Amino acid sequence: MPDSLWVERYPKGVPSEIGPNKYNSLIDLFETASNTYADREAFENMGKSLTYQEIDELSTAFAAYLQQECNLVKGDRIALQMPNMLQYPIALIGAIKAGLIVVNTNPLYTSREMEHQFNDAEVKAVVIIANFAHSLESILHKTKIEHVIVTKLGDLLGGFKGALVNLVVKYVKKMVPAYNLPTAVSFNDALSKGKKATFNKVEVKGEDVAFLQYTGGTTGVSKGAMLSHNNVVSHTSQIIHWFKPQLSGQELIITAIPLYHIFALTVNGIFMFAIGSKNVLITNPRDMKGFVAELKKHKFTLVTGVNTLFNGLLNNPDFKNIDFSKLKITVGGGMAVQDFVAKKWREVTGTVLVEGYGLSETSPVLCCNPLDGSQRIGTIGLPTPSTQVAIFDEEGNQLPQGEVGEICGKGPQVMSGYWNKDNSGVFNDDGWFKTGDIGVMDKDGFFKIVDRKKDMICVSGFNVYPNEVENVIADHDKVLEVAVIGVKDAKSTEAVKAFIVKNDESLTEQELRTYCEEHLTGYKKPKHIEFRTELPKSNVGKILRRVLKEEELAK
Amino acid sequence: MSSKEVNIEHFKNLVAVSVADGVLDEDEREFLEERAEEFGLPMDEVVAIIKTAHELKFIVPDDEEDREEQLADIVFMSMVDGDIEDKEYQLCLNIAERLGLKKVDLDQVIALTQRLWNRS
Repeated sequence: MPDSLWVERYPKGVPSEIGPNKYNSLIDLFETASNTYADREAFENMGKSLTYQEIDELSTAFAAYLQQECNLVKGDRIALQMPNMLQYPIALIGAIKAGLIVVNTNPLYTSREMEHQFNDAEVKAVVIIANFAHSLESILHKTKIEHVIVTKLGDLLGGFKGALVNLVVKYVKKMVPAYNLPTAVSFNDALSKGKKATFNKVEVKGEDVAFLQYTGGTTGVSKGAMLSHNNVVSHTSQIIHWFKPQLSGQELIITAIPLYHIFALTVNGIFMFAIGSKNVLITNPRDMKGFVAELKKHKFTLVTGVNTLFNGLLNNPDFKNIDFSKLKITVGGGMAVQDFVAKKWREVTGTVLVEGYGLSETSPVLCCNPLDGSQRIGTIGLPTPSTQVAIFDEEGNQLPQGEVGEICGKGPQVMSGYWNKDNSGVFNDDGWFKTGDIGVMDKDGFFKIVDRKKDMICVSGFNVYPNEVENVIADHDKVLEVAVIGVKDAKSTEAVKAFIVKNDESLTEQELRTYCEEHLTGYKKPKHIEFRTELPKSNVGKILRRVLKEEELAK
Repeated sequence: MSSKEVNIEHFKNLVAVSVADGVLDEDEREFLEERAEEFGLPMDEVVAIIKTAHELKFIVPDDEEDREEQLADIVFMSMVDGDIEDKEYQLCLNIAERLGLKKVDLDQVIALTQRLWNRS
């Protein structure tokens, strides 16, 4: 690997290659960790914790339920649609043990978004939190879903607390709209039935798909990145090597980013499980007061998050009163970490906030800053062990160090392609995965993002694809033309702005906002709406988003 | 008992408690109707249970988790129309004891309900 000059910058103890995988599959990884750390606490949520052994037993029961009661077989797809709660790791590990392919789904998705994802993945079963079951009800008949398992927030909290949390969520907070899913089974009933059923071990190969991780890709149409057992096991090994020099004893990680997001799934979820950490799941990090109160209860050693989250914490007056004495590592990903946030984080916590980089298609980490203090603010760090990253021009030529071009990656963590899609153009002729991000490598092998994908909008770490938003808005009867771009936003890095040409003069901004509320999940909804009499177009009539961006920048 | 039978018994207990003070007020009725829907009980069955409310006997569930859930449900229902009053507290204590639970358990449920409900 002649271009891997970054290896010289690796911290002591980090190898250039990960070598053969320690685990044959994710099942092997989960079983090994459960046996090795049986008595340790694995996950905690709302004051209730489960040990590795309990997670093993409950996930096996869930796997048995999926096999015996649902008749699901290896390769069938199951969607998990929940926030961070104890049910998530149980359902996830159970599904993997049963040989199923997990389709992580944002619980805040609208019915339209759910319908697309479930049909594209040909999902046969779904585990969904009751709070959003009404959305599923409205589209269930349009999907091939045969089994619905509904869970409530308090289901695994036990006794009085679990029951009261469920009552308060439904009757006081009014967070569970009425739904009618007559064939649905409760999560706890599924576990009870599974405990009495026989679990049959499934033979899984490394190349078998473990996850369909949906992402907008580079074209804006949401696609399932096929991540195999090998991809995720290799990624775990890469991250273990990267973190290893800093690890000691049982780590305690705070998981505030949702487990359905690739970053939390494989870094907080799977990596941390593999090394026997305790994982504190935060269900609603937007409740900053509650989040800070929860942080005060734990002497945590690791935190991951996105810039918006760190900034939100730093702006909470009580955050500085937390005990950071055990905190060793904070990693930011999903979106650029702003310099002032990284600086303030160090001032308040006494530890560095390092930035990493990756995509759903790459499990996700391709690059990460060193954790030994040699990080470089403003960069995405160095490629992880066994990873190659290079810069290419539009013709597919690899560019020398210092030149700007498209970031491309190779490594055992990179997906094989998108599910049921034409994958031409996803990789270049030499097998490099084209990230679509524009970047540059410095003389020491540190990479820097110069620009986001041409049109993609990054709202608080979530990718928004203008095509999708435009398609939805264009469906409105009173809209003639629409163009969507990203504009700078102090809180969320970028915000969605829609430029509309009316088809009917009676169309109001409020009318359009109500429509978007119904059809787009929160972060995709336009924050700004501007009505125009016409939109800038090319000679062939293509709307020029670039011109709109330039106009915005000139303001 | 099947889960449906457990749900019916649970609902009957809620109804029995709700009329113990001689009145089934609007908040309680609304709560009972929503719980019935959540339990998947058909409306005719619900109407029949409510009609015979004064004759219902309180049934103690076999499972400890079910007993705890019932006490939580009963305390929650007692607080639907405001804070728990002395008479309601005594009734809840009586039920807790019949469920094999103690005063300390009841006080814990009340405190937790108040905290979750932001009433503390």
